[in-house]
Amino acid sequence: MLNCFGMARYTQIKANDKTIAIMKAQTALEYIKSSKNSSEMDDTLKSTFSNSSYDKIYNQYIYTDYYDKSWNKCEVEEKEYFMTLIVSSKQLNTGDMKDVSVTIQKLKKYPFFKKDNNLPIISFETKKFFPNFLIGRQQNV
Amino acid sequence: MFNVDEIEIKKKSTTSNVSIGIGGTLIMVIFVVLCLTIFATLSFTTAYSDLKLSKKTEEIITDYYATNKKAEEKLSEVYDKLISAQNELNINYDINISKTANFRATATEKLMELNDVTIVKNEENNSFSEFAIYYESLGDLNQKICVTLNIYFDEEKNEPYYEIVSWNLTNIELPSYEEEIYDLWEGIE
Repeated sequence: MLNCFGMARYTQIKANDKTIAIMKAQTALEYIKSSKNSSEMDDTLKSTFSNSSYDKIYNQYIYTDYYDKSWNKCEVEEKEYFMTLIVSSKQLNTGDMKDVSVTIQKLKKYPFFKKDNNLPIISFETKKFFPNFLIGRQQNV
Repeated sequence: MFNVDEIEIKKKSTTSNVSIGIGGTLIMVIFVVLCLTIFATLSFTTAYSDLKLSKKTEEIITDYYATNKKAEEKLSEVYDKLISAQNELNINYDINISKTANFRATATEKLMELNDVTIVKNEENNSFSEFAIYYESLGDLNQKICVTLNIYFDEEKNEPYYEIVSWNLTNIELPSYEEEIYDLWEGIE
């Protein structure tokens, strides 16, 4: 019976985490989708995320945000969850194709769960194409 | 007056050997345990339903972004065709018609090479330009993204460009609801 209460508690926490993680990831992805050009996207992401870095080896920007147990933004030391947004750029003759992947993970494992415990809470992938003509022009979506 | 023996006999006749207190406590304990078990099961069922709903949402959103990814790839293919049409203008050029008309003719041919891209006719009711195209990106979970682009040619810059008129998410198949007809009493005339 106590086990059942415990399982119920952590199942609910897991469900809530998934819902909040989906919202956070979607927000980040919609920032990218609504950007008019590549530089606007970079500026928006840099101002939104607490940490950003550039990986020269894989030619990709990595943006990271840390959250505490109540899903408020926090410092690295207090983190319970963290979101990683990776934007890699592929230069085409016609424009710039951005490969975007967002992952949200929990630092500690959920008790009572053996299956899927090492997997991230959510992980989405998409792309965004910025054509060359958009440099100096506005795209209406 | 009563004597001591009579009082003891009276006491024995009113009290029973069976203890009610222990039985009541036992029933209460069983009842509480049963209630707690039911509450625990109900809590778990509710939490599990929430988790299933969250997982379903995750599946739909994953599929949405995969569909969006395909739509963006198709957009880059479309623009690639427009650029190749522009490059071909330098080779095949009909001097009897305008540069834009030349571009449209070449671009139409090029775009027809792509699967699932259709040229949209300009009618009075729609807001499309004279040269507009439409394509769909299909998802796995009964959802698709419908894209309509207005295509222009900038004669000054000598380059094509497009404007996204619509980028809509819709269902591939709409659910069909069975129409049940009930014979209602129409009343007395």
